[in-house]
Amino acid sequence: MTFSVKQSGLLASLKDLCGNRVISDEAGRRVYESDGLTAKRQVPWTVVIPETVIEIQQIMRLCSDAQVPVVARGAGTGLSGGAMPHSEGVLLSLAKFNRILEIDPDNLMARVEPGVTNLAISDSVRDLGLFYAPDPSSQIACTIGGNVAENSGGVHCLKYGLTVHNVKKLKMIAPNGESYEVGSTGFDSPGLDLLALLHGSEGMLGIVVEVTVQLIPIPSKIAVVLAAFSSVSLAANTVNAIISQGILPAGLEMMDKLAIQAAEAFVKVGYPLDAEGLLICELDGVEEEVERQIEKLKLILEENQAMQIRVATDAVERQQLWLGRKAAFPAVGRLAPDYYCMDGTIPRSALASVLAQITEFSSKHGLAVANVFHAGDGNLHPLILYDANKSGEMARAELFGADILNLCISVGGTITGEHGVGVEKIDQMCVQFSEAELELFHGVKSAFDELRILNPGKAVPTLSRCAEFGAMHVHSDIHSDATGSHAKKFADMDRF
Amino acid sequence: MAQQLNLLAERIAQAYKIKTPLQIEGGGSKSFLGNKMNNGLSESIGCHDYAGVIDYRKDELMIRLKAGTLLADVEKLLLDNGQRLPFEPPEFQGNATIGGVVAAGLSGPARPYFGSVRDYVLGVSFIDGRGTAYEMGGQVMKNVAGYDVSRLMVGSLGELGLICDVSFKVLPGDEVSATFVWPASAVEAVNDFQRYRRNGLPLTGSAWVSGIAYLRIGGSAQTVKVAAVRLSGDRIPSEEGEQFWRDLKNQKLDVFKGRGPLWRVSTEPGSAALLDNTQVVEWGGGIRWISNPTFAPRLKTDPQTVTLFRRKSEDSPNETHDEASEAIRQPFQQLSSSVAELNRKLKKQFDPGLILNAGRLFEA
Repeated sequence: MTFSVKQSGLLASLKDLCGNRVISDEAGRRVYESDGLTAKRQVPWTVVIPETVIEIQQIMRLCSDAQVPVVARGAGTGLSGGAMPHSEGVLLSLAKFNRILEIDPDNLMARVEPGVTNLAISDSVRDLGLFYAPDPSSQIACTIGGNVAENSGGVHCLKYGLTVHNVKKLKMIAPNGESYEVGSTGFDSPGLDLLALLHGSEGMLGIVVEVTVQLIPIPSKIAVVLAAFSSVSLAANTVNAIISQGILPAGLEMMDKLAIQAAEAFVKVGYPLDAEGLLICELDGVEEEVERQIEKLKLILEENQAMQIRVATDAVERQQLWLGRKAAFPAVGRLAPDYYCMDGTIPRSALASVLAQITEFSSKHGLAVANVFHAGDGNLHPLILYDANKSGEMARAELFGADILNLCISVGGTITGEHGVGVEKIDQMCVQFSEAELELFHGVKSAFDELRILNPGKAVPTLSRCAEFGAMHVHSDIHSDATGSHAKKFADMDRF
Repeated sequence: MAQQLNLLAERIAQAYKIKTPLQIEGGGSKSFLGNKMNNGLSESIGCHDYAGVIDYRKDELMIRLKAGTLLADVEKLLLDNGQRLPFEPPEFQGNATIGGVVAAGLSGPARPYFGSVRDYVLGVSFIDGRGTAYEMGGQVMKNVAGYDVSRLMVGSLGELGLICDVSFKVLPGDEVSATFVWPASAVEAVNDFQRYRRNGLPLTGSAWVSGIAYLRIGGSAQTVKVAAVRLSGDRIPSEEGEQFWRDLKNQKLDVFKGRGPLWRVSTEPGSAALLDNTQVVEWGGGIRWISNPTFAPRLKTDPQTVTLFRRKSEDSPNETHDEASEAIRQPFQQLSSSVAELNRKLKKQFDPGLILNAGRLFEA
């Protein structure tokens, strides 16, 4: 789609409105050329940094009238290129919207602006004995508005859910500048559940200008248990054993050998270097219950041949055990000039076999891979190591990534669990969804943004793009027949 | 696609072509909910013959069910496996189906502590108003590919399509559940509920009915034992307690009986609004039931979310039939004009002929 940028007129109007908070010089604009997915870059036509909601409304009206694309940006930590600018569009930075507007401890809510960082919310209510549950690894920098746009998860979503489960109300600005609210401060709201629909919509449907989040009382006891295993499959199978025995950990994370070694070299927290797989399991609740669960968990770990078990209950030691996991991405980043982070989600029971297959892909493509993931949710983050300066390596990394995503779909999973589609996984959308489903997504888009000025070209591929990509829509291999039994499609075919 | 679904899709496609309105029906247990549709002219359609478990992966905390499956059967299956639907949906007369649970989006006593129907929906397959079938979401815990259409289906009252199957996240059941009661005013009860919540007690239900506060806690035997010491009320026998929570969610308590209109007002749990006018409080204060015949919510301006659960009975002997007031009595809080417009535009994308339950959730 091409846009007729009435550049000079629009730029003047934007400058009238926001003065020196409009950035039009090349060097200033280049700062915004990518988000956390640095492999995809695009310098925006112009950057605007509004300070008030009224300014956002006016900017949207101007851009709507001129039919100029608008890409909203929070902290720019996203990993799928969702905030990658448009060459002929406005990059709308929400950085100035960083105030916590209201804390309501009685009703366990906080009302905040979209540019408030994820961690700042928990920090501001800790003294009240409360916290905001979703905690993406980037929580020190990522903003709540971006969390809504991506429906971000984190290490605690196994028990506490994703962003969509922890937001009660949103104030939005439509592409035409109109303001509206969805959700409520109670437990219900009338009409269709637009609050759910807007979560994870990647800036395609509206601009988030205010978020009311649900807060949760901090559990009275928290314990972190670390278990090391002599093989990845032992660790993977233990994940299922824990959950099937009725334990619902607050978080259940796994790392493979390369990730363990990278993390240990980086932060030195005492991870066992001889382990092939590591599980980090957080338990929380009332004191006696957590103690009982620790004992139960230890038994399960021993039954599953854990070679080392460490239990941390005091805050410092707990933080240490988490530190390695939370620093895993930058730690792996030290192993190679570049890495490519994947985000597929699979049924937990397929963990061991999918990991084995990823190892095979690794030798096929000749690139190393470190695996770090939210094992409890089946959300994988394989980090493919490559060097963009070596000819062909980046292309091989992308092929490796595509293999992993297709594998996730074929075992009944999805191409993205929490990072979003953005520009990065847009071709794989053609594999995961049928034509009719993609068309329905475009229908949803047009209900909110008829002119298609919000974040064009992201998240949902056009059908012609899919035709060009040439991928066939593949459904998961679980389906039902008339009698209700389920069978594998193409049962005679080899499965990964 | 299963043969039954092909037939349903063909029927809808045909209805779209000849512009015949269809009324989607499950077990009929929640037929009172929403605007009255122009029935008589509509044909009914449903997934009655499409029932059963498609996939139950206990270790994955996932169950995928055909829409016609009875809720009661699902709850029994899960109970036998030590699991549950955490949002505790009402079954009313016992004939509620899974499709209806999702389409109505009603949750029970555990809602404020464990989340609602939509919080546990992982995927929904449905047929839209053109007869086209979709599989949205999936069976995994996290999925942000594409717009979250599966959660949008929850509470859509059939306006967007015929729900064919649903995948839920399930949770382990509580080893022990205990109910405590104490005398309180509605205001005192809400304060107590909030205090216990802030103190991190393992609450699984809270209600106030006719001067008595009810609180349910759950978890392992150890958890319940420890938490019980911190509660001031009297523990009642567990069967009596469970019966109370069942009767509450299914509206079988005496206080729900009557012929006048019954309103459900959803608000901030700590709000003082209407506490002097309510007969039943639920969800830590977040729901107030009002059956006072003189109650007249201002559906356009009230800050709360108001839903009419029972209309004034037409054969009520003590009330004059007042057609004018009945006609203006909408069953839902009014949407703001922007949001109403978004609802209508979405409806047209899913059901361009406006043939599926048109008008039941919002004005077409």
